[in-house]
Amino acid sequence: MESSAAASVAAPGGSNNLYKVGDFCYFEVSSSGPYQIRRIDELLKSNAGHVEVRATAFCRKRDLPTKLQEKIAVYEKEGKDVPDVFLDAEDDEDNSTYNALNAKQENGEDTMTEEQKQKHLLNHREVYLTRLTENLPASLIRGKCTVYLWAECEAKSSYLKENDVYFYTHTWDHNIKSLTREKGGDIRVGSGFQADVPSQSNVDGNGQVTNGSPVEDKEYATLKWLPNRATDVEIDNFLMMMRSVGTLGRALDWNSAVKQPSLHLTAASASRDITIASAMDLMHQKDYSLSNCLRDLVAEGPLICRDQMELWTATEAGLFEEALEKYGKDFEEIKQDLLPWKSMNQIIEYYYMWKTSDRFVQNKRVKAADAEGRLKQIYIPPYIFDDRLPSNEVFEAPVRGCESCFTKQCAHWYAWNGFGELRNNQDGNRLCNECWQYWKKYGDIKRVIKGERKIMLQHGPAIPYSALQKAEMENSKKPSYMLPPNQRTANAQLQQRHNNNMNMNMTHNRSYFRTRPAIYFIATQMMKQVRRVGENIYKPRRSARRPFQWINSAPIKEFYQNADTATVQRCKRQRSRQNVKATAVADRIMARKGAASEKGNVSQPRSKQVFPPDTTSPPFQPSKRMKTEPFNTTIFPTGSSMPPFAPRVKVRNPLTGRLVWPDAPEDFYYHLSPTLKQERKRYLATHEMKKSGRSQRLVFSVVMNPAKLQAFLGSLPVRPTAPEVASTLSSSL
Amino acid sequence: MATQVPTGPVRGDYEKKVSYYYDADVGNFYYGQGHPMKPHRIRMAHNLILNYGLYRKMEVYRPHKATFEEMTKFHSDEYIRFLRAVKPDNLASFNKYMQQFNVGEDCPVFDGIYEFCQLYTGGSVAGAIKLNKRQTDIAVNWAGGLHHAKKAEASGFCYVNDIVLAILELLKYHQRVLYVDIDVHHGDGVEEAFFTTDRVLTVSYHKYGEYFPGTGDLNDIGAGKGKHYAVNFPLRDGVDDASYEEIFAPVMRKVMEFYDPGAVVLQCGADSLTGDRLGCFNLTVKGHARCVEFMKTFNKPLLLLGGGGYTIKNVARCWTYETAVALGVEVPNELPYNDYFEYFAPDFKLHIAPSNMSNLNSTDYLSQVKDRLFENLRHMPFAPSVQQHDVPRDAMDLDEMERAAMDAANPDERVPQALKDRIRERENDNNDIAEGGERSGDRDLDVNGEMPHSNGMSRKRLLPEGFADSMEDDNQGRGILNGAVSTSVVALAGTTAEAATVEPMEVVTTHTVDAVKNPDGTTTVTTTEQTKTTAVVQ
Repeated sequence: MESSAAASVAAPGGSNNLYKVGDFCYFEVSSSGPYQIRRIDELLKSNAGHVEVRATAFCRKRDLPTKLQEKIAVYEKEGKDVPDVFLDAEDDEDNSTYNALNAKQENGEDTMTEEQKQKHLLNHREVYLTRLTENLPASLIRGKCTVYLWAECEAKSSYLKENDVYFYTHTWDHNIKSLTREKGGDIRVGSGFQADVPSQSNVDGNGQVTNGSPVEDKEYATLKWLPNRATDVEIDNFLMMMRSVGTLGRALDWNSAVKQPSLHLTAASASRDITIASAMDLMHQKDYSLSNCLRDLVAEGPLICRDQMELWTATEAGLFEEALEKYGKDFEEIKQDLLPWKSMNQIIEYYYMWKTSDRFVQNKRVKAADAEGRLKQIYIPPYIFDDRLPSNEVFEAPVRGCESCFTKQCAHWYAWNGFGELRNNQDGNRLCNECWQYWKKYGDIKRVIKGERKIMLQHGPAIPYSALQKAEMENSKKPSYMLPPNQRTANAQLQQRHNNNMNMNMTHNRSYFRTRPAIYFIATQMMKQVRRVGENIYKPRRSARRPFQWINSAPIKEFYQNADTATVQRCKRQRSRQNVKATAVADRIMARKGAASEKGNVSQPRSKQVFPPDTTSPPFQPSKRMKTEPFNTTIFPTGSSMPPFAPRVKVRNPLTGRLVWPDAPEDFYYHLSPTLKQERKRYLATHEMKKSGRSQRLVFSVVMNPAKLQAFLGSLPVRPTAPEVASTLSSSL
Repeated sequence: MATQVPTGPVRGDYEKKVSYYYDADVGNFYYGQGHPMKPHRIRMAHNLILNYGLYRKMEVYRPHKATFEEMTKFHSDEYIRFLRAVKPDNLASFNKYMQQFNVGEDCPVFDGIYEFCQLYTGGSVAGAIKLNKRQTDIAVNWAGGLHHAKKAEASGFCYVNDIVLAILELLKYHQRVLYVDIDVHHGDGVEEAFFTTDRVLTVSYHKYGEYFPGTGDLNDIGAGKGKHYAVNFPLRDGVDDASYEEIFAPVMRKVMEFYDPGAVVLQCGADSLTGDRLGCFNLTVKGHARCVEFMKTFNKPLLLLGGGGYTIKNVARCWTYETAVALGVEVPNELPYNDYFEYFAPDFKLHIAPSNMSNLNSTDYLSQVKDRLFENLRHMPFAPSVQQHDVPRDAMDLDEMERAAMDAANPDERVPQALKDRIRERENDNNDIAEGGERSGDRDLDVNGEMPHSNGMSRKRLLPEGFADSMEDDNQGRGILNGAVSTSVVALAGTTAEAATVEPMEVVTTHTVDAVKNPDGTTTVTTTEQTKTTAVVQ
């Protein structure tokens, strides 16, 4: 049955059999008891393929604690609205008033007036929202119903006109044992809440200002555009020109040309919204004179407007994607850890543009697969009542006829044990088909039974009100209390997520979370030591080949604890290399300069390290870099050579609106020749190497001996061009 | 007003002057990971507006940042000081205030929070000032509309209540301001701020019951002097276009009739659209924009603000279309290419289709609520007398402007549209004004459920539909014009070339000045003017 429900998920069908989140439906939890009324909060597909429903429970009046029902009954008797009721501890035990009340309540059906009958039926339609949520298999769904929040302007009797319609006015919170009117909040009144409104406007009958100076001459906004100053044709023409100039400018600017080798891409870049927006601004600035605009457009070389999408290098984009995977959309962290040279604004703008890229679409597909566990709606075929089920035995027509309507003509009879009181009635009460359906849905029969106690939950164990009772029982152990959806805030989810991170609960791969939490494993000094000491026991190499095999930590622990200092010391691997001063390293390099039979493998870098380009600093300053990073012996920009001529191109920074230097350095490759590598390995301590690798912005304090440096850089011009530097350096080695 | 939802393009009955406020920085504020509120949606809407060519049809402004002084006209100093000082890095030192100001959960502290508040508030206030100066007919600030913020408390993604500040600004010039809220959430911040005043009438349509913020019961009608000046229409899940129209138009028509505000503020929260991440209504962009279109027909200074909206592609669609509606411009259903075009996959269309969710608002329920609201409205003292200070000024003002404009207008040029509109607005005044100024300041005056037809207010009515068309026909020479229409013909006669064939034969202008001594010793002066014109079209 469950599998059939799951299999039919994708099946098309009428909306009547489609269950969506937010729908109200019946659940058959017990075959003899009435249905449970639930609201679907979430549809979950389990790994086994079953569909589970996380649902908010509504309970009927009879499901409430007895004491509470009494209190309600008192109010109802007096014809009053039920106010908020709180149960205290005493109420749970004391039962005396109840009986007295119940005795009074007895009413023969013969003496029932129409009004009372209607009241009886209305009682079946009133439910209470609870703060309980539970997970139920979708296969238990038996049909749809609707639960309304009763509005005061409605007559309650209007709910009797339709089937499967309920209303609620109160919320039952079993945790704090309170029944409260479903009313969210009040508008507060007081000087702390209202605005100070003068009793009349500042303008008198003659249009004169009477007090204050309401005529605000202060400009509150900057005009950016006036309509009807330029014709549509003029504007369109200018936009076209702006785009053309942008395309040309990009073609001339070697930096762009490298990034966007095809004309299509260049033209697309020149047609982005920032160009259009700038065109409009420019037109306004030039007083909508097309000729003035054009003059400005090419005054100092072609004007290029770039947005973040274009300004970011491929490397930065890669870093960003990596960061997104690692941190999710925590841009603050992304900025701090991976893209410190970008501003928050730039990152966010880029993020929203990145979402339009193909890469994002791919990512989204992956996420969509992840989210498959969460369903939007399920199809459940109409429930056909199966009378072969043992609990619904078909009986002979009873002597008394149907307990509710006294009919003796019916195809199916159902054993009905009423409200528990009557369950010992051995000749068996029977309900006809129709009344049975009514019982299942509304939890009562239409007839009022004389002396019948409707308040039954605690007395009638025969009918397991599973959800409610179980929840109450388990309440002390594990609260299933959930906030109503509107109170669940974004931050609560964040918190939840955060908690999961803290627990390093990697196996708990719930589909709620879009991105998996990252693990950061810190090995303490002690742990490192233990690892070394226990090497013989757990055989790291062997273990590494068997990643899924558990390592028993007990013997290692024992060994470590028992081991004397000498053993520990012995086990400690001696540092094979000593920390050497950087100057010594430099000296060694200089000494070996030219000696080694090095090939100038400048054109084929084998290993490269990326240095983040700093867009704010002036472009290429090899001399400065040389001073601080003498190892970057071969620095050259990505482009293999400079273009034959570099036109003056100005670029408007989209954020500041200011012109920025267009030729900001591209990615730098740090090419390491084998000699250098060797030397570095020899003289630099491992931890120093690693440290420099981790902190990219750190300028490593390896400073050369000035004299040596002078010699090293002796042949360099004061401000060499990149290729010059490259050739000089490669020849110098 | 037809009850059915229009399927065709927006009719450009009245071409309005629209001022649009936008700051390019606003899209780059980020509430935090997983937070549904995304200021980026404003940028998406803007880019659509730009690429649809709507941008070039409006006055576009970049708002200045609202100052501390401006914000504290409503908010408490302490609260704004807190907002100004708090940053994600120094959160810890503000720990004790977080609870007090309800900052942290729904309303996180993010990078640039104060600047964000300044920007969206600046736009709304600037729009209000623009309207006050009568330099525009409709001011639009999609970044604004954060209606949950309280005097000294953040709430529901809102920090500074720009709406309240904008209304306070409008109140300097207008005796009565109407606030209408079509966000799926109740506009509790604005309602609370003006709960005890009769100078602002707040109307909110919202989902009610087990829903944020919880307020907005049908029975919340205001308190003290402001009793009956808060109108709440609680709704259930799944409201569709037809139902919404059914409840919006009649109620608003009644409200306009009874209250006759000087200016209207419409909060266009887009979370009432179908498929919203947080909302539960089933409105389409067209149904949503119908409200804007309807409010526009009253020819009052109109401030359009944003608000909620958490399925951002639909928010951008909605506000773009509503900008077009404000301008009275038709836009094609095909979305123009823009930076965020891919967001609108898979159909890349402007309009959206409703979902198949069931509408839990039965016709019965809606009409019952509607009846109850009408009942409440009837209790509202019709047009409180203090208003009379304001209204005559309008009349004087307009007359002067009309005359001045007529004198100064260059016959070779078209009359500015804004002027034309004002001239048109005036016409019906004559019909409504009979005798005036009798009303005393007694607020408890029982009107016996009857609506006095005229009382010296210049009540501006919705112009009959197709008015513009009929006027044009007449201009082409179909005989004698009289009554309401003639005034504008006269006004146009001297100024437009096309109307040159129309000569005013007789213009009779009567000024009536009524001075009424109020019990408190002040004098209420009411000026009414009646212009009778007969024109012969040759």
